[in-house]
Amino acid sequence: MMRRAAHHYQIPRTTFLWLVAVLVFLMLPHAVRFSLVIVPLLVICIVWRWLIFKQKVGHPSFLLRAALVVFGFAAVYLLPFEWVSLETAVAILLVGTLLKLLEMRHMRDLLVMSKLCYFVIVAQLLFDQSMLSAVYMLIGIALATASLVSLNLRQKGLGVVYPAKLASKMMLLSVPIMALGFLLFPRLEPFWRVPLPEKKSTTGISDTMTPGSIGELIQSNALVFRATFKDKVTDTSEFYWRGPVLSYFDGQTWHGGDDVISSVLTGGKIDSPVNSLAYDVIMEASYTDWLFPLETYVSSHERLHFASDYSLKARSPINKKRRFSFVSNDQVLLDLSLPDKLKSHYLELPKRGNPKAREFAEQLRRASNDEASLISHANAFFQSEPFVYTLKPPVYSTDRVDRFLFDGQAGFCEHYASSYVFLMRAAGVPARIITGYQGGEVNPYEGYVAVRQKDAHAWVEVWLSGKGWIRIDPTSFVAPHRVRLGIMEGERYDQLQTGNWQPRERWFGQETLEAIAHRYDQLGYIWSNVVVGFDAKDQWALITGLLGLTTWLQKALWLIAAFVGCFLVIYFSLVGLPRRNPLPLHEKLYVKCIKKLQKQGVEKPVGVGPRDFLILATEKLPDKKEALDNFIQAYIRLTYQPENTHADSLQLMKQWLKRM
Amino acid sequence: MIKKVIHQQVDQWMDKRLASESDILLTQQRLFILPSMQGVFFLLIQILLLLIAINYQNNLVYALCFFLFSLFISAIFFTFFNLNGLRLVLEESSSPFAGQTAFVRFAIEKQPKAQHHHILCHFKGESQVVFDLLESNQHRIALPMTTDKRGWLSLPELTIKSTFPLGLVTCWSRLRFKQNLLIYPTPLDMDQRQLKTSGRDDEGEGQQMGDEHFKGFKAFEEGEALSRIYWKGVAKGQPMLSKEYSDGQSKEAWIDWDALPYEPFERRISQLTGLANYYHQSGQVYGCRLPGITLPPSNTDAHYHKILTALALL
Repeated sequence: MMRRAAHHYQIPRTTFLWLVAVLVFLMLPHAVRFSLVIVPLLVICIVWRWLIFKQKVGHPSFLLRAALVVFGFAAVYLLPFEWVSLETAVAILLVGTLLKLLEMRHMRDLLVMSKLCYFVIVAQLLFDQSMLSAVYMLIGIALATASLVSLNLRQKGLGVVYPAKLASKMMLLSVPIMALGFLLFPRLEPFWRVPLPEKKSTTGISDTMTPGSIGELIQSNALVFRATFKDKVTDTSEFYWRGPVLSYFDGQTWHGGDDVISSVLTGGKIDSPVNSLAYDVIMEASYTDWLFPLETYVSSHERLHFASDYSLKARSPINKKRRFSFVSNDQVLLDLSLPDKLKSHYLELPKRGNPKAREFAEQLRRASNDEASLISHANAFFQSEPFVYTLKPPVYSTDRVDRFLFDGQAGFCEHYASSYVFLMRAAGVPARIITGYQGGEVNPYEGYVAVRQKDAHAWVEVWLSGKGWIRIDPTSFVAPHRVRLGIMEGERYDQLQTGNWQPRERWFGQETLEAIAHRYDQLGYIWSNVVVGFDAKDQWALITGLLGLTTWLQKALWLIAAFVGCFLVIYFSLVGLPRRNPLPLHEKLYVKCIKKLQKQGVEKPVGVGPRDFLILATEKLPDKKEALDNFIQAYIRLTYQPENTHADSLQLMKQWLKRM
Repeated sequence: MIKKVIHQQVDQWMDKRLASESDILLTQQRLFILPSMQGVFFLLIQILLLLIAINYQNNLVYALCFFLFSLFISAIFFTFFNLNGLRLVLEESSSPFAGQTAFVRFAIEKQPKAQHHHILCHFKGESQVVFDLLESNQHRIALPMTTDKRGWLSLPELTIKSTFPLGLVTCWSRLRFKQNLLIYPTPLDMDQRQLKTSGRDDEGEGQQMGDEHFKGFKAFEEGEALSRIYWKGVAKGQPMLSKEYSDGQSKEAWIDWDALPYEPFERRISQLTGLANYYHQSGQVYGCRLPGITLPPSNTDAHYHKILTALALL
């Protein structure tokens, strides 16, 4: 009965199993991120722990533990992260936590462990705020709480179900206060700078375009951003999400022209004429600062880097999901006049290479009177030649433009855009490549447009004096369906042209599956909007807008009331709601009868019993004597001699009541 | 100095609040709740999480932080209800001899549907008893308490506490009882040679050892029959005694205060207690003569306890 001294404490088995299960569960997502460190340590620790559990081995010696610490830190050092970074800090935390698993002997170790779990959870949430991650971690928290309950149970024989049940109940009751805190706690500015998650090696549009770079992106289904519009959007084929502008070509790779492009910090830049389109873009973490507004960006609430080539950058890399509000207008004309310096920049080509293309451009120029007809000649060339749109073009090694235009004639947007700009510049028309995204998928349930990496695209802008920059999408001449259907379907369309196309059957359940995918995406959107994106602005809108609280007194009273409400919820769920004794049915009927007679002008004086009330009522309503008589007699019998009363007298009472 | 005053104040306040009967219902009036050491750590962790949430502007970490806080609040309620509604009833406990550990018995009752886990209970400065109340509505515990002096011992402050289910808050109550427990004197083994037989017993001297009735003990002397030795006593480490038998006509045994004239007061009491134990165990009929009290010979349990009570309160 007596408590054993702490150093004799044997960790109860169920408790131990709980903690190990929790730890493994919480480590799994990290194991994906830091596999080099986590996987071997996790395996060693669990196997060792299991052997201790089975009493095959003792606790690891000091030497072994020291060796594991050295191994752990060496592995952290070998990770491809900066030494002072969030990743390294988290990796060290994880190593420490895992090694603690081997050291668990005393109650105190268990308690420390149960607290460490929460930091492991936080570490995961810093890297991944998606709904999936949050749900996973919620389960983790439930397990951690259950293990804490298990730790505090005296009767370890209660197994795993009881702690799990109790923990769930506690968690459920904790939701109101958590919600209150989440909604009302002021969102403060960061106190100091912290290392953010480092750039992941995921792909995305950048300010260089090497052969194949967009082709790689197109294979990825990763979400880039979602855009929400005030009005319902059905057709996204005219949506060109404008990203980096590439204007410098070295014969192989296209770069941004940083040295000539000036940039200003701006909120609103261009005077917007009629029919501007306001919309929000919720960027996923891209770890770059590029933004992708629709053509043509006009203004934003925020101060952003707005370049003279009309590309837009955030002021800091987008390391986590962020919302931007843009206004765009497709009627705006860009750069009606172009300074000579810029003009020459947009005409610049490598000194040598691609002689055929240069010659062809010269032909085009001679054949046209002005730039407009030159452009239409060029467009006609792309439309008439047997160009093929494919994601798996042959490799064009040297003189890439020549090879593509006159030999291979197979490629995708980057080939078309790059060769088109080459031709234009060679013919003396300022031109540049625009990279970004085109189209996007409308979510049928939520109405937003989801743009994914597979929507990556490259197109062209040419400059015509008096008209400014004009967008031309050479890919659309060759594969209009690419623009209309999106890239994957577009490629299938090419198979149709080459004769390989088979009509795709809609397999069983496909529609359901697509609907589920859309629903899932919608949930993710709501999640990122409502939960992850909840900020001081939303908070203000909630308090002053939705609840209509303006004065401090109102707010304080509401806060107090809300907290008291939360406490009452917990209290009554533990104590049970106070129950009133329900009235028996015949009493209820009697009360009804009194109310009914009251409406007919018969008032029942206080303290008058049923017998006297009957006399009183029959005097006033002699025509209802029979009903009253039978009803009240039945009532009296039911009240005073319930054992001698016929079973159906309640039914009869109801009938008599109706006749009154 | 100030500390002392505060302690006094707190003590007075507690006395008022905790003054108890033998039957105590634990309610919010008697129960106190404060964060445990674990709970303080838990709150510190939340502050740390809040800093992380603010610096990383991470809503999910905010949520986790508030969730843990909320869990803490829930734990307050759960821990409170783990003790609330328990009824402690002080039961009759047998008196121990001074120096032995007394076990003070309580019956702890719960409401029919309630469940109470992992409750710790102890007297101030004593080791604790841990128990659950899950199925049966009543549980009996015996709390250990060290004793040192004979006489009335007021029960020390009793602490009943629990940190279930999360260990984050401690809910406790301190109970003070008006009841006292009578502690019997420490028994000392009698050295029969010191037992000066008083005049009343003189005739017995020199009488032949009869075989019929057991009369009492005397110190073993060389040459006596080995079968007369009280071996049980030897096994217990007592000095060698040999049994004396009377042939039916000898007088009853007496626990006589005057039989030990040269012993110090407490020692005399202890020795007489030992003698009473001995007589009681051997089932003999014995009487008692103490200053102010004389009890006629008997061999019932009640008689035995009466004598011990008298000795304890002498």
